[in-house]
Amino acid sequence: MEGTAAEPKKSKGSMAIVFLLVGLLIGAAVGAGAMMVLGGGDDEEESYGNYLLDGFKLELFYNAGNVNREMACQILKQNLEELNPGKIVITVTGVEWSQYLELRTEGAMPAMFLGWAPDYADPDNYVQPFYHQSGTYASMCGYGNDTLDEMITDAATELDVDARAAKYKQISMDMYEECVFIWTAQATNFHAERDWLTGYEFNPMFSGLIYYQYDKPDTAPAGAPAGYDGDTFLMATISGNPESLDPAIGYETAGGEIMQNVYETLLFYNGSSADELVPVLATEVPTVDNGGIQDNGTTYIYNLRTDVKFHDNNTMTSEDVRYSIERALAINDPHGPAWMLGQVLIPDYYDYGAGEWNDTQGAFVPGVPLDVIADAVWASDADTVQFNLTTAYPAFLYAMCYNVGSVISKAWVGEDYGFDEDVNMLADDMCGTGPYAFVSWERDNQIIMKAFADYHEEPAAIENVIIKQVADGTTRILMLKNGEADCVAVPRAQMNDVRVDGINITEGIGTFNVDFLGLNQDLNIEAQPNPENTNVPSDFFADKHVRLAFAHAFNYDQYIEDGLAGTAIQPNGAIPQGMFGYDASVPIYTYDLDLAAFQLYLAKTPVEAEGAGANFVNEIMARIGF
Amino acid sequence: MRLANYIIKRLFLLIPVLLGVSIIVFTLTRISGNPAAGYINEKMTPSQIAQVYEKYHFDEPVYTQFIYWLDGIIHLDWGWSKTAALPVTDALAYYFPATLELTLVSIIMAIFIGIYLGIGSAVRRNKLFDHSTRVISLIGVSLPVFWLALILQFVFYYYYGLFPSGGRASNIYYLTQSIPDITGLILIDSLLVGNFALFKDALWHIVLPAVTLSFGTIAIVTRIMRNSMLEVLSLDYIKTARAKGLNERSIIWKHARKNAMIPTTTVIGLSFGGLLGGAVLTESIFSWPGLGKWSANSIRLFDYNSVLGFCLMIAIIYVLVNLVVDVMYAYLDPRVRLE
Repeated sequence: MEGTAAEPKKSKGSMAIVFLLVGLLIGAAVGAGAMMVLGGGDDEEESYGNYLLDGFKLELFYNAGNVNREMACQILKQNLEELNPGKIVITVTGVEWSQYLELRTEGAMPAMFLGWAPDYADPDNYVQPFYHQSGTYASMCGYGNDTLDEMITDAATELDVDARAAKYKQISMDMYEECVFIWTAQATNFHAERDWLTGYEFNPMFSGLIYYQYDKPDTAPAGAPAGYDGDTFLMATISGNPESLDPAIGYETAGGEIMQNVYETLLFYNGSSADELVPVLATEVPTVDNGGIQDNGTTYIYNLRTDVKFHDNNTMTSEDVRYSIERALAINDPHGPAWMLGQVLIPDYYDYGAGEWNDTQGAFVPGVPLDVIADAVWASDADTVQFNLTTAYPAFLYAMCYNVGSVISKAWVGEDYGFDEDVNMLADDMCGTGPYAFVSWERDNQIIMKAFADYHEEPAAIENVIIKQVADGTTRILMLKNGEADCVAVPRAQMNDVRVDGINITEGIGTFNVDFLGLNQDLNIEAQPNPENTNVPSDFFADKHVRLAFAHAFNYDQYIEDGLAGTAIQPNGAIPQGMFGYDASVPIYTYDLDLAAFQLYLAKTPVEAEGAGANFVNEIMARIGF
Repeated sequence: MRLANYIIKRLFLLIPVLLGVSIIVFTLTRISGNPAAGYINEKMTPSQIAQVYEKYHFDEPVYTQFIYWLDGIIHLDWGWSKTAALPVTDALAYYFPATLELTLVSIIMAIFIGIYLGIGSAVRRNKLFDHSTRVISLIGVSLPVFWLALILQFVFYYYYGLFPSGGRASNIYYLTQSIPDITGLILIDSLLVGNFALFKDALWHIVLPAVTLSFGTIAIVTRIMRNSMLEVLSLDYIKTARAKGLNERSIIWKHARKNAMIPTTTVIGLSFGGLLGGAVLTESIFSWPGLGKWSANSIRLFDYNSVLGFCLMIAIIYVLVNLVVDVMYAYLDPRVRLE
């Protein structure tokens, strides 16, 4: 159900509504005028009891400099104001990022344009933060629904695949009706690389490229520059250093790309599939049938390969796997990815804080106590690791594919989880089992990796990988055209500059990044920075009709074409296209101003109007069943 | 001894200057937005945001925050640079050599070319050389740095392939980890270890960014040098020298140049400080991993610790460069007394 139509389709039903509304407006005006002539009117403005006729004032904010969010706000402004010019007034205000966050924290932002990218490929990683009342965005929007919470928990713990898919479909359908969020865009990929490269596969769960996929000719092919090097892959990427190369702490894509090439997890995504997992350090994917999943989905048993070497030449054992998980939970960085493990491995996980170095003890004190961790994960024997979950959670297999599930060499890390006072050795050094070994990281310049000769599969075809930060987009494009770079990050606005001979383009495949508009159902009126621009009550968006009016007033095609240069599709809900749980039969919100007007008409203003026009219109509406 | 006392006195004067700079910059970072913004992302829950406020004292009054920060500065704990994933002091030491190398090459180019052009214009006043130099100077101060950088890159890298796109050295030296780290300046380190191929390679890499960076400074130095040279050439001692029958070359390059250098030295000194802190665009376009690129990223990512550290360091450099300029005055003009 992609909303790709250039013009909104108007159904016969919606046309009928238009006629009805026009009639009502005329009737209301005539009625009101008649009452005024007969002495029933006064100088005060009439109130019709609904937001369409009475209008409203609202201020939308975007973080200054974010042209896409600014455009989204402007689209809403233009379309909503068109519904009742002069009465509906939307003010669009750009604020600094810090103020944007402040407004959001204070609950003073009525409508929030935000984005979300998944941590692991499971619908629970979408519906939980958006729809569960403990979720980040649900709580931010003041939305809570006990029944829905139960449905979310039920779907998250369902072991049967078909039944689980059906439950997510039901959640998506219900949420379409509820319209808590307006899903504006699901980004699609745009990838440009030299035509001498082979092996590229796009997977929305990859952080950057997996260089093991690639090969390139040893000798210079046609169009290659004089300095062509068949042993080196040069990736020119945007500016930005990894926050950390430690898989227990790193929680962003710049570091994630390095980790996904140097470290390995027990399982990983199969090629371009975000659904199918394949064993990497394990011998097979745990299932109920092979005994890997037991006790109604609360026990996971991974059998490990015995031929895996770390980059420090130590052989991987189950103790390394157990230690890697223990380390992540011991560090338990509140801004890191440890929660993905802790949420299902540790009882009352959110009661525990971060681990830290203790000067008095001269040692690192774990955040989650070691005895609690020991009950959650242990090495059954030299090549078996067992996990004890607090509840059934099929997404656990996928959560373990995130970098936080990376296996590191215990011998290499040494004591205190690699910490010496506040210095974390793993922040800028790595020792994994992956096809590439970490060589160097020169900040603001480049990261170098080298193929690991003793890799447990065929060694990587390309010997060296250089990931170079080139801040300027034009420079990156020149490097690609020149052939100096094998692949570059292309700015969205410059996509057409690389559509030339010698460069292969892959585009249009859905990423799992979704943009959305959150509607605040508990607006903090007192904290409005410009109170004169808002006259709605705090529960303005608690009215479903208002939310639906906004959903139908947004021109999705315009936003995607003009704002995102066509590199997106319109999502039909929280679960993005391509992910398990996505269902194409869930409808999308259409851009339809007539429907928007109708929904606003149905949205009642707080005080029921006493004006003649209002009574007149409301009486008619009541008679026809609204 | 008088010189040593003077230098010590000037160094003590650093303290109020740095205190003033730090108060201004710290206040600006606090009033220009919420300093917590750099540590908060859209995925954080309110309790995580509260932890950030508590950890960095953002929930306390600004003066309390300043005292915490100043205490850290005194104890060489300048905070954590989120952008560099390093302590700020380490980050400054990390990025400084690259910027210093680029600045030194640029300023050397500016000095030699600017002085030559300035003297030449003064000597050939209102001739073709003077007019040409004036046009070049005008272009130099008018051209936006980013535009010049992109044009140089397009022509000399992409079109003719004469120079690399950016970076400090070719990949092969990084892959073989054969770049020595003695001073952090590759041009010097390569000579120190006798790796002339690396020296040549580093020189090849620095040409385009150095030309870009020095172009504006060349223009300014040329104009200042021309004016002061014209003034000096009209003085009596030059007339005396001519009357004595000294050859014109000796008069210009030996007698006039030295005195004309005094105002030029001030400009060069200030430009040096400016180049160290202002190579943001040049470093970004030529992928030069220096202070400019780091500070620009820090500003973009609301990394106020880094911004404060950068400003403080630039202030220190400015004061030190001014000190060096004042000392050089005494050398260039013995009439100047250092008191």
